[in-house]
Amino acid sequence: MRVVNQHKYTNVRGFTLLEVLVATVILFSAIAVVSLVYRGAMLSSHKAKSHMLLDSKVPVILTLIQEKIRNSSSGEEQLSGTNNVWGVSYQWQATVESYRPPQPVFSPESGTFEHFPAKFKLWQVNLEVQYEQLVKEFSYKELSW
Amino acid sequence: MMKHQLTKANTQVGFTLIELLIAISILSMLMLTASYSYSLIANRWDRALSSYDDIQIEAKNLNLLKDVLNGIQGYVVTDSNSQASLFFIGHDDSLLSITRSGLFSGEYGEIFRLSIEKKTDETYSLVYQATSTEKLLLTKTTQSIDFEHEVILLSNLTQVDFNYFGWQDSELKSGPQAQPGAWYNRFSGIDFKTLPTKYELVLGKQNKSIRLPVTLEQRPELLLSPYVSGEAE
Repeated sequence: MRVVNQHKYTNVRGFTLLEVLVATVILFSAIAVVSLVYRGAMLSSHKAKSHMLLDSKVPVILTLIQEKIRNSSSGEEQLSGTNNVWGVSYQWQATVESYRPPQPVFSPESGTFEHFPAKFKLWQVNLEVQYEQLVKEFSYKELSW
Repeated sequence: MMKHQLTKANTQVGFTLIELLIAISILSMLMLTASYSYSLIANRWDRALSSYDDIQIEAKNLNLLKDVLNGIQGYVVTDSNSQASLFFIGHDDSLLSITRSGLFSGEYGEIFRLSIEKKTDETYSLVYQATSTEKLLLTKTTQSIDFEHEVILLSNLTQVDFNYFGWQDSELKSGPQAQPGAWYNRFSGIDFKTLPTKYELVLGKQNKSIRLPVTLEQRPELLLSPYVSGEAE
């Protein structure tokens, strides 16, 4: 009878604390790794999306700014503006860097160089484009006449 | 001895039906939760990736559209009275012309038509139809054009508007009755015998709009000058 009892007890023994701890650690580290991978993928996908959205609007924004600069009156030295295209907002400033005439032309009739009034303007443009939290800055030159 | 054997037999019993049922139900609940959360995550992942693809396609098409619009060229055709005119028919919602940077024709010019298609949910799609001038020589306005290619460039638009700036007649631009140019929502190079000097396409999407301005040749009337002088002689 005694033997039988002992036998029965060993049969229903549970896990030791150590076993439970090890199992929990393994389980949680597996969950942590999976969620890290998932979060990383989500974050980079979101980042890629906002970069793509912003970058695709830049060529359009450049033509809009070019149009503004080329349509400006000849006396203007400073231009700026803000606008929004399809959810991408931007602001820009342009300053005249140099204001030059065309090259003088030699005229055979008078035997002198013919000089022209200043006509070409070179603008330095600083552009800041923003979509949600993503901000990009561009700096380039634009020509108008 | 007999009793001992009996108890030994008792220790070897398997699970009872109840135990088995409980174990199965717990296990299946666990698997249900696991598969549900997996499908949830997979769904979100797919959506994130497909919305990236959508944005990428939209970005590509927007810039292709910009190139097509910027590549419009003066192309001379003869109209029904065999007079030289320019192949450019613009309405407020469509545009038919020739571009040198078409989507399908490579280095050849491309006859294209941009038009809108209204969807059932009150949104518009911008449809691009094109055929290459490699195989089709366009000389007359009476010629029929079969478009080889058709793609939807942009969809879910709430507004599509073409506006054209120019003069209805070259004589109004320079000459005794010179007038300043004006914006039109209809511009036909075949009727007006000239091209707009600039035009724009406004695309609206959920209250936000984008304007694609295009500057063309500033003196389009010169394109027809060889034909005009020929007639005068």
